[in-house]
Amino acid sequence: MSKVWHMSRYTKITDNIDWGLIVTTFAIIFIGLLCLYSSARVTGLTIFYKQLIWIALGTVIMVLVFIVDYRILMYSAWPLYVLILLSLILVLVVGREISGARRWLSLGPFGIQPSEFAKIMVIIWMGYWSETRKHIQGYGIRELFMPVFLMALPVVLILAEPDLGTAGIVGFIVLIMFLLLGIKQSTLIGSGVASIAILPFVWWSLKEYQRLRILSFFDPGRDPLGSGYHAMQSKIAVGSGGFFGKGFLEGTQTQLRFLPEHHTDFIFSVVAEEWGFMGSAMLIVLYLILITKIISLGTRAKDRFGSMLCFGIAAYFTLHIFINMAMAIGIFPVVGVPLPFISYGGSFMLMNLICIGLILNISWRRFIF
Amino acid sequence: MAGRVKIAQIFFIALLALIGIRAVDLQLVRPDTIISQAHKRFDHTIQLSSQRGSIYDHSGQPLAISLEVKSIAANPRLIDKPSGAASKIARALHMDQNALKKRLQSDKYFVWIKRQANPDEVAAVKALNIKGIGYYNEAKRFYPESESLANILGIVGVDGQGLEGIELLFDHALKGKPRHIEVQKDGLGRIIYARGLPSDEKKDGNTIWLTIDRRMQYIASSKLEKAVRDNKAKSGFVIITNPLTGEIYAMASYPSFNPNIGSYKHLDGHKNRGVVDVFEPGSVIKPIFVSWGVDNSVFKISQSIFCENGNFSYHRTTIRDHEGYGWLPVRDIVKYSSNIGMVKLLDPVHADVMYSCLKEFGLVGPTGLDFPGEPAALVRNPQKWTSVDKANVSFGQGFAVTGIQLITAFNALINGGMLLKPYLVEHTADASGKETQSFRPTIIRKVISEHTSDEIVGILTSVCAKGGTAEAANINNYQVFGKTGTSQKIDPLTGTYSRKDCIATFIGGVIDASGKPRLSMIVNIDEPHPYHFASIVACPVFKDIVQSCASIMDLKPSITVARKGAQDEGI
Repeated sequence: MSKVWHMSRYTKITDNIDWGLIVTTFAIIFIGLLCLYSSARVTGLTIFYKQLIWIALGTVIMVLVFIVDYRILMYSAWPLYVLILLSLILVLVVGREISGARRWLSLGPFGIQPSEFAKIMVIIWMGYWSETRKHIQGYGIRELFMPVFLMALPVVLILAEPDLGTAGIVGFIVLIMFLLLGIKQSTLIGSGVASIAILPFVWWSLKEYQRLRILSFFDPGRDPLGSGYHAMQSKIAVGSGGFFGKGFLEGTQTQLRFLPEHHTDFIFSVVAEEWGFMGSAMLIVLYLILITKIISLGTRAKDRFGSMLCFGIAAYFTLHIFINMAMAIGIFPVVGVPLPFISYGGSFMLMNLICIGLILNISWRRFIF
Repeated sequence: MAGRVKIAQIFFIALLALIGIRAVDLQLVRPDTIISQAHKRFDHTIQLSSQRGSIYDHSGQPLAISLEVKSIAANPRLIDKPSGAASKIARALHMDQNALKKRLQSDKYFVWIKRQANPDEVAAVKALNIKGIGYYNEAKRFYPESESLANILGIVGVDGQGLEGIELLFDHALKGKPRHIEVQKDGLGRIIYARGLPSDEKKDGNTIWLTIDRRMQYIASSKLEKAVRDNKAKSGFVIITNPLTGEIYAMASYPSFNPNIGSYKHLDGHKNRGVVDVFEPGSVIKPIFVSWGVDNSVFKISQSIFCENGNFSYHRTTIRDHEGYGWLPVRDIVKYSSNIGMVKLLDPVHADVMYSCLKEFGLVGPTGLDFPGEPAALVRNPQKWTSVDKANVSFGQGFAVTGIQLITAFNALINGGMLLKPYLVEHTADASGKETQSFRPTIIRKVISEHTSDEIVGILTSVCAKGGTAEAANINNYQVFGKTGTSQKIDPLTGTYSRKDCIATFIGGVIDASGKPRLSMIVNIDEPHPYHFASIVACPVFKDIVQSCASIMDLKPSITVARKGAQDEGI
């Protein structure tokens, strides 16, 4: 009997892998590589080759993440929390200052952004917490006080760097996950009112350039050559793509460097300019498939930890995709959020592929126990 | 939980759908408006100025040239600590720290720190190594002759535009055609992309060649300065011309200014007095009326007039001569400069006729000199002249003319009767040296006969001879001719003629070995003290300048002093 069980288990290894998810992911990565090649051609192809290496490395790590049972991560929730929190404090003290913000920790020749890892840390910690409290029906203030406080700490530390975009994403992931768990109506209304009340203080605590960005978003004419510049140029790039686009390597906005950061934060405008509406629509559809798959998997996962990991990761991807694209087409302030699987950047690509590894892991293991 | 997941899923899909809708709007519905809107915002046209043409004297010596210098500018948005940067830069450039701080703290993308800085200043600022500071090549106008020619050449503004003098009048020709280039600027105001090549080939400015002789100009201005200082006068001017062509060899004004410093503290020094100031000419007008009267047979040169021994009651006023004379022939009325003689000589002539005489000699309207700001003379309508006014006009009071008008009229008097348009610019050439425009002597009209002209030269020679009022202008071995004029100035307090403030004028010329007048000159000294007679104040200046210019002009002695001269030549 036991032998049969094992037999069946091994026959299912490949059968139960979510190949659709892998295909979708690598289709998006392929589009990203085309865009990166196009935008890197002017500045030098080094970043293109570097990205290839990161993708290869990320794929290996993805497979490793897939192999080890994801439930082990439950034990890492607290150590991970402490580690990330300490590094977030450390970055404020010894972090490398780049144009007024301390976001990077130097590790020899490498630089890492602790805030990038905080995004995944909160997902794991929230999953762990909900797994340990899964008997509760409708969370109230008493149950929520401690986790909210614990989750607010990294958000505040990231805000202090300052990194408005990342802090917002971490905060929203936590919020969405809490909401999914189910909160008592009275608590919900109360905290809603409270958060509106603290909005002015948040505004007051922002740095001058951050306020300017937000203001120039609502009124682009306010400072067309300053903070409105990126958004404006990006809009031109997107707009000039038309229906079919200008063609691969033909995007003048990006090729002629009107658009700074076009290989990182504004890479969507390269897609839109060179591949037109066809290209951008296709990319959006691919992302939709990816997110829908992750969410539906979340509903079918064996345990609450797995479900919450799926929902958290879905929120993680959605927020990045939305903010990045919205920024590029001028419906969101410029906050510097990369586009999953597409923007240039090693650690972000690694994080994305680790997430996919986790999802594959959760998807595959639901057939085992 | 399933319901909440559904809501979350719909929320996520809605977010991405929002992107899709916006993409439809941007890429399909109105891409053109967005693009044209953007071009409006980021397209700029910049001007690449061309090299301003040089100005030369008639022998090709440079009088105004453009040098390339560096200007220091900043993009305040790129400067990290404006106040710290301001204090460092201010110390390096010896500037006002607070003013600079204010500029660097502005939210502009471009401010000048110091334009046309010298190389040491540029090096000092570069050494500070401050982010956001830029250096731009600009042209600075340099005037090798400095004060000497400043009143003629004028100056250019900091953007290279002519503001005064020749620089202003010929600004268009000197400036050349600037190039335009379409550029796009990035968010920091840096030029990131130029749309194609400059619109058309840059055309450097034309060069201008003046009739001025740099050396004579220097002599005239330095001698003038000395005379004004020695006589404790207010100001003065000298104009030297070629009486046969109307070319101006030199035109000096004092006070002047240093055009290489570019300060506007003493605007009075910027005036080209010989052209823009009017003054009452006084006795220098006498030979003009006499020549006209003789030429039109109103009186004869041999005719004699009783000069009332220096005191003449005329229409309830008294006209005086500085010395009492009895009967004087017309030539001696000029020689001794008798006011009474002139009044009586012109008594039968109607005011209108006297006015038309002035007009004939170009003493009413501007001469048409190629210089900006030349006024007309101040001469009242002759119908309103009273008898006393008319008497005053006959010896050069009661109306005001400019120096250039007087020398122009005087040239006609002595060159055989041709009224010639005076001119400062000989020719212009393009950047490659090809002549684009040339100016030749222009005869406006013939005003008197050659015979009368010769006779007047004779009379004016006697003025400079022993016993004449301009004896001090006489130069050994040269035939010198001329006329003095000392006119009283109206005292602005009393409205009557002042006793102590005068204008001393000498107008004269030299005949060289060829027998023709080679140069004519007007010397004008305003309010000399304590001596105010032209014979004492202005004549020596004339003499001094002619002697200094003789070798430059190759002025050969017109009077051979028999043996001694010959021996000198032999040695």
